[in-house]
Amino acid sequence: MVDKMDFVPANIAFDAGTLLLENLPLEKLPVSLLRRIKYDERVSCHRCMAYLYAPLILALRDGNAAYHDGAKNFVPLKLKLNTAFSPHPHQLQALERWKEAGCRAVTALPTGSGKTFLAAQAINYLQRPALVIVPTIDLLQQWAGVLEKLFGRQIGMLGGGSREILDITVSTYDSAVLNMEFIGDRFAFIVFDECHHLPGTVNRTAASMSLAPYRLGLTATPELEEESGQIVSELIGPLCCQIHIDELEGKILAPYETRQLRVELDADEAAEYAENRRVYLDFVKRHAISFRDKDGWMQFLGLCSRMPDGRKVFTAFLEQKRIARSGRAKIRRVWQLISAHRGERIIIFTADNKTAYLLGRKFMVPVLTHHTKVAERKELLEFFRSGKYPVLISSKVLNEGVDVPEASVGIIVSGSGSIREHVQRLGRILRAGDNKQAILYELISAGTSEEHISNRRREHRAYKKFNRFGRR
Amino acid sequence: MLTKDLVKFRKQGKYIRPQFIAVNDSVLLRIAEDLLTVYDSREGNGVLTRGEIEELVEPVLKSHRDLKLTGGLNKLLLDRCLFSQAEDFDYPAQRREIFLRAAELLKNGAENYDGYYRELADGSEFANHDIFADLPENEILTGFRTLFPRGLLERYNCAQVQGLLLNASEIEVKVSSPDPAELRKLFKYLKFFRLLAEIKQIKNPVEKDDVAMSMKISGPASILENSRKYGLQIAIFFPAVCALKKWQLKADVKSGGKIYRLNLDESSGLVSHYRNFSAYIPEEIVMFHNLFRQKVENWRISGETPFIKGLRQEIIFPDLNFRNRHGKTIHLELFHRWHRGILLNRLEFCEANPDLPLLLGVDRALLKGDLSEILENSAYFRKKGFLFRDFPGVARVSKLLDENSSF
Repeated sequence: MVDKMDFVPANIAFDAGTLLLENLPLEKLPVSLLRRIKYDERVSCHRCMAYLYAPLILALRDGNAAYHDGAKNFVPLKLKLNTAFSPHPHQLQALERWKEAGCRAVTALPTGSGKTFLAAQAINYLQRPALVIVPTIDLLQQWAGVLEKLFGRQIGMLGGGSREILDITVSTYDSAVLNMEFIGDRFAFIVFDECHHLPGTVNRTAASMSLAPYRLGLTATPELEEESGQIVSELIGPLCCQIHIDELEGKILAPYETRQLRVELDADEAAEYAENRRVYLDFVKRHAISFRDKDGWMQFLGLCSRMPDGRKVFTAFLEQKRIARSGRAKIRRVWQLISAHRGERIIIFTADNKTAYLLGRKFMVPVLTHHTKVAERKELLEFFRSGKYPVLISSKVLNEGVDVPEASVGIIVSGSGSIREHVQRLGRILRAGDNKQAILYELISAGTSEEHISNRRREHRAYKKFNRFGRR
Repeated sequence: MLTKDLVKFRKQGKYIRPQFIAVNDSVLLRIAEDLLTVYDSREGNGVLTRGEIEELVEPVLKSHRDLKLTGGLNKLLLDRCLFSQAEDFDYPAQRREIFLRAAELLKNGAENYDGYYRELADGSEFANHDIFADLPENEILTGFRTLFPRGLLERYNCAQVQGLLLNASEIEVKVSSPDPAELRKLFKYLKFFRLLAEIKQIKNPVEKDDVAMSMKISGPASILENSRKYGLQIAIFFPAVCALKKWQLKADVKSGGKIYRLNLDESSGLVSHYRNFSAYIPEEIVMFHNLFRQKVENWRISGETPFIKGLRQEIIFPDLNFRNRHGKTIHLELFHRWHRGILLNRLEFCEANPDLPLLLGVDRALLKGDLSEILENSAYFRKKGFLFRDFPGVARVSKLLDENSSF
């Protein structure tokens, strides 16, 4: 007997980042999918998140169920890659693994190993409209520039004041989150650059509200907590290929070394640091605040605003942090390093904007932060790449992805305890060049909390080959 | 909107309660007035920078022991400011000049810092300027949407609730003795903020013979993910709720990893600032009303409209409603260039309900792709629809009303 449902085709429509599903033959869908589909009383039909489009269509096809696809709003393109370069073996390997994973997977390649070129190869393979999502405005411009050259066509940009959506578009995560409920039906392929940003409760909607059946996650640092890893796997796909920095060092990447430099505070600053730290730690101990607890920081802030001595304690906290991060001795050491590496391209990293601008004023060299306007940040990066500016200071915006192949020296004046941040900062100076030897300095104020922070962030394979204080 | 650190609330058991302030408290009114004096004194004080404003308001903020409260009032005022670039000085160009000079010195081996700095500062424009003076703290206040001190305190109370609703995935609103005009306005906001409602008619718990309406309001994806993605939309929508005469609101709010219940009703005394949402009437509509009154005798434009339940529980609020001398009412809904999706839904609904007293007007700007063909093939549209450019003509509408006066 013929199933009556077969005569009423299922109707699939895209609705604000979800799929509206009418006349759905539930009996033909696997349990794994049924768990993610709900009946929506508000609109009298079934609904699921848009990212389930591909498994849903495949399940309907497998079950020979008739359906009308009113959801996708894209057609194939005719794309051609304009390049004389052939992919490197590691890029070919990554591309093949991704194809084998059904074009829904994550690849982990070190910075400077050609992730953009890999993504372009994938776009070219699929010949479908593609959206590339990146974490910063600088990366937005960089990706758009590279893709425009590679495909010889105008590239859309969403974010940083631009709002032009074309067949190949690059967007920031922020703009993708804001716009996906409107554009989630327009792209067949999404590339998530630095995809370790995806699991955040806000960012993940950029993936879950798009119906793109093909997905590629790119990252240099795929290590995630279990829950975050599951989210990436669900929304993009599994990790299909991982290549480490040391596997490409000296071939695709420049040979490198990292050096920790301990800097003794000036005597007066050391005394000031000790006193402020004592005030701060006494308060923490007295109120049994543990920063290991999830809400330890909020507890500290709350007590600082309520207790009579709270304001003094908070000022002491800020002051000891400022001295450790940007004490005078450290700033003198930065000058020595700039002088010692004359003729080379140097990136200076700080933990905060205040220190970045302090150094910028002190040395009269360019500073790139999120306050820098689009036109100026573009010029700063161009002048740095071309060698007009030998030094560039940045707090966090240069941490990830931005391509500055000519940089060979990195100076970390201050940073967080994040391993990811530290590996990404190293990645900025690793792109290979003629006889290039990259070196990353890490300045640590001796006898301060920075020593502990530094030890935490160096817990990565890329640093393991170096001794405690720098030499191989 | 208040940031998380400025929202004041108390947790009692499973409930969360915003800490409202008395909007007629003389001390608070004085603080509001002092703050407004700073923001509203552009003409008296010349140009104020963001940094100067911070300095000026600091004593006012510290004049009250509750820094969260004064910080919250200040944040609401900052949201009403428009800042522009610092003084008329091309900082990026001047920076480029000095960075290029610095680059030359560094390339040529500047080892002595003092000599390097002296050489750069000599004769430079930056001898008298901070090299990064165009950072946000130096931005100039160019505009401020002022309000009365009491209005600021009322906004503050509303913002307390909004701050909590940012962490809600849905709200349940009960409206007692609903007035159609009030509801129409509420649903306009719902549509405007892209929210959905599950609507039920219920008995009014207080006045037994009266009806009340219960609405669960959330975003499209709320039933799938316990996401707070729509928290912002819900928070912005809230003033439309407290603009109602009789209302109750229930929401589950996440705070510190736990869920708390927020209960509010009209007795909270909250004042909505969305009062004037429908006060603005586009010029084209005014012209249409005037012309229609002058030229059409058989029909008049009626002020009130019952809503029509549409497809998938959508509520249709026609744009114009006409009544003839026999009491016959016909509605008109207009679709402009951004209404393709809604128009397709409406056609589907109308085809299934051919006797609806609803005319459809479609802006020609919408006729892209396959839409011309869809309209040509629609029996309903052929009988009760028409095309227009920008805004419909009176003669066209009048003719269609006469043709359809018998349905």
